[in-house]
Amino acid sequence: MKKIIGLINVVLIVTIKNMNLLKLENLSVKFKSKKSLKDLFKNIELDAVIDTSFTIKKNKTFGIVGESGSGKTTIAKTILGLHTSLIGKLNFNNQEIDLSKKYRDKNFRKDVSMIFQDSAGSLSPRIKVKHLIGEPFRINKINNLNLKNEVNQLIKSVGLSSDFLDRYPHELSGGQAKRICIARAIALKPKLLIADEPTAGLDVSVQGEILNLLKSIQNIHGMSILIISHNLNVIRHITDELTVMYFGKIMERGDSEKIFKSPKHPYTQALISLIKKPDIDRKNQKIELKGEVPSIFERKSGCVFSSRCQNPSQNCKTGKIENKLIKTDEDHWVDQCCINCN
Amino acid sequence: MNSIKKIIYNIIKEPLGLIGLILVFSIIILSIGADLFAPFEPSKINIRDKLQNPSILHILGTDQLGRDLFSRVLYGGRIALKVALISIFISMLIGMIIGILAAIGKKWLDNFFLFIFDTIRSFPTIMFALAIVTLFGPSLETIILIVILTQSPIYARIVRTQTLMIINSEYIQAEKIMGINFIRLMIIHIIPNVIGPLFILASMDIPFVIAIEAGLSFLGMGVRPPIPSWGSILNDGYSFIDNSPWPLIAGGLPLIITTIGFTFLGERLRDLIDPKLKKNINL
Amino acid sequence: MANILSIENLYVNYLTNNGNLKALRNINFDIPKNTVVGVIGESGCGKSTLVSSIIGLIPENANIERGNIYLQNKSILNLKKIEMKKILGNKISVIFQDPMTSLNPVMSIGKQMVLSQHHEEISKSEKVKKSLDMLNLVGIPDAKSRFNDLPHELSGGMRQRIMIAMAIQSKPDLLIADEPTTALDVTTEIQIINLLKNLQNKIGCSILFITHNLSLIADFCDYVLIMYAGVVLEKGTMRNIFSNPQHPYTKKLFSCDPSQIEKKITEFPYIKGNLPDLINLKDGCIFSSRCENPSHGCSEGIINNKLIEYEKDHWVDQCCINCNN
Repeated sequence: MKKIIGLINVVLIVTIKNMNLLKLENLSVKFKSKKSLKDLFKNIELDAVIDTSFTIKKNKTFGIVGESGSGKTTIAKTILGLHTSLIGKLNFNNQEIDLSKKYRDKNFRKDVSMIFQDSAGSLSPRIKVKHLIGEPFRINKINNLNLKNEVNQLIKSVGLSSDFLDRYPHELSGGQAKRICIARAIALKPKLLIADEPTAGLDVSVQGEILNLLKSIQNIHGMSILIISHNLNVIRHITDELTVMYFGKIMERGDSEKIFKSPKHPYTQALISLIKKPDIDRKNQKIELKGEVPSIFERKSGCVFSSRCQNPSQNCKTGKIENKLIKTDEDHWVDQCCINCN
Repeated sequence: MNSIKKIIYNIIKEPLGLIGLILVFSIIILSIGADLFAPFEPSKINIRDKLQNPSILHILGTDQLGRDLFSRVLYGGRIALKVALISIFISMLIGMIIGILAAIGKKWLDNFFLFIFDTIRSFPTIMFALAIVTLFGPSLETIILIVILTQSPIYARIVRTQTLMIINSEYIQAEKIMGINFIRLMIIHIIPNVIGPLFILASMDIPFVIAIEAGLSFLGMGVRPPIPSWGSILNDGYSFIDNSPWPLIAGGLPLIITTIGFTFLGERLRDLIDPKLKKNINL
Repeated sequence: MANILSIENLYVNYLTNNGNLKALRNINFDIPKNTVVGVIGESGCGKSTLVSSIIGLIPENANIERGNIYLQNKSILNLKKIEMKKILGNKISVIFQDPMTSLNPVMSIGKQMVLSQHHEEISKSEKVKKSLDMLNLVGIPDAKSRFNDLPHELSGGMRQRIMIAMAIQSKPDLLIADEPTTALDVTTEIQIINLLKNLQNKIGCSILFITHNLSLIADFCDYVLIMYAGVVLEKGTMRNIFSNPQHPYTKKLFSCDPSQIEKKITEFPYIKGNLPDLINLKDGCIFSSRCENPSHGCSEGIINNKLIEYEKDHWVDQCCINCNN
């Protein structure tokens, strides 16, 4: 009997391990403060990201929601190796990744790619589109294929004709530049695509095309997507799981549908109240949070959201409760401070 | 090819640019084809015809040894262009490499280079030039060395600033994420985006470099006779100014024309690259 | 009803090397007193040209072909620069999208606020006091200590509040807000919109509000204009437009807005096709290349764009009324 239970456990663990593509544990990212000479001398460090953990499953879309100062872009850049961190663990495709080293090894770079918020800005200005799309092949010295064919296929797969191959980045519209970035990012058939604000700067009539493209690529290639956005409308429709970040910490995390149906954290509730459809009777109460995101130079102890919470508990006001995620439901985690407050 | 055509079209749209381009073009053609265009040997001495005024035979007259000034000017153009192009090209190369290294390397490397630049630039150019000539003796090679030493720091600074501006841009980050190696990053992504201002500065420096050569030759510290340099023609003209103004004019005229030509051309090129003025351009 | 601003038959072109770019064509609308008029349009619709034309700061290669702009029944279209300067910052104020580039980065915000009161003939200390009052009014906490801060020491939301403070301190008749919240976080956006609402009520100015965010329009505007490729395709009260959109472009735009979509979807709607070429402009309806049911007259290019009254306070382009029927 014990043997059978043991076997089932092992099978479960192995299955879960295989389902997870990326596992991030207790990541904290600090930056040296260069505000003043005094700070440089004292080696003062600023916390951009504090104790963040989440898992991205294979073939699923994961969203990081947050506004400025939330640390969402820092997380993406740390995963990719543009920032280093001494605190936290990253497991990708069942391999431990050393977060203290800058840049990643060849296999990781083939498996993880990114599209930036400013698509035109992320394309080298004096290089033609056909060379930009072919860049990943050249960099990784993949020579045993017909590059021209591959590039042709890629540009068609993002919905653009091969006329675009001879253009320069400044000759592209926002949507076209975005597609080129996507073509470049999927060139090596990555397992994870990180999309930083994929709809930023795009007209509403064009956003849908880009999102459809991402979804179809995910289905065809079997790719996971990590979407970073503050546009909850997009997040709602496209993500399977999400995490809400504020000032470097996770406020809420879990299954997207559950969170949108019943958001538990006041920050999530405020964000969701702002995306309700146009209300011509002006009855829907949009939650207006007072105040602003605090300055990163003046981080206090206690709950990070306390300065904007509408009903802070006594413990919260005095800074006695620290932020920590606790499970409220299957696939739904909320920060403990704001459960108490509400 | 297409972009070069566009650039040329845009240059000749403006009258100053057109003048500049014509002058530069003429100077280059006449100098390279000096063998074709020069009616006489530049060193052919003919004492009987010394210090003559311009005539059909001698377009600019003759100097104190009866040598045809026009031919000497044409061959002198070769010297001028040789000095200018070789020295500026090498300076640009050195400046570019050091500038990029300074920008992307460690802070101490950057500081070290800046220190060297500032030290070299703190010498007044003529003094510096004379010192080098004293060390190495007067010759064409010495002049080239002087130009390289004085111009490389300037170019390196420009390249360093331009590189610093783009080093944190998103497209460089995107390339780094893809795992690009250093050489490829430099050659394909950094250099094409930083050499624009460099080319323009270089084209504006050509008359300056030619003037350095002329100046040194004028002082007798440049090329040795009988090599016809515009500066040495000037020098001769200065000595014989009471007898005939024409050697002086023959030496000075090409310098003026070259300066005007390259300056106009360079300014027009600079206007093209300056984005604020792009409304006049169809690029 | 007195109109603060009236735009009549406005046509604006840009002279480019490739030809004449017809940026605005046959623009007609009014901004009544004490109302908020919203303009919805995507890139290339001409909204920036519209703003520049009103404030008289069009680029050198732009040309106002015909039409007129009236501020309180006086034409301001061809005013001399000196005359226009008396109006700008006084009767007409503007706030732009990017507060980072609208404020002088090397001058303290207090100094900029004092300088922007150059129309007033009061003493400097009075100007300072007025500035502090304004900063408090727009919700800058601890205004006195912030008075000497430089713009980069403040957040985006704060900078936009300062822009608003500078814009309204002369109690303008018309405030033009060109995508004032596009660059801000959503939680800041709602603060700024609520602030604008309060101030508009208090001062009684009219606002021309340009955005691409539909729920902001619904929340804030009384009248709406839908612009596309240089023409107005539909205009009317907010209620009429949102509850009963007539033009196919308007309907499609609304359907593309993700917040409209109740259930979770797997495929997003979008509008097929591209913007037409405004240099080599063909005759006929501007939207015909992207319309799903063009009528015969439309695809032949016979019908031109012109607004006709569909119902009270609701105007639709004549071409697409035909197409729909």
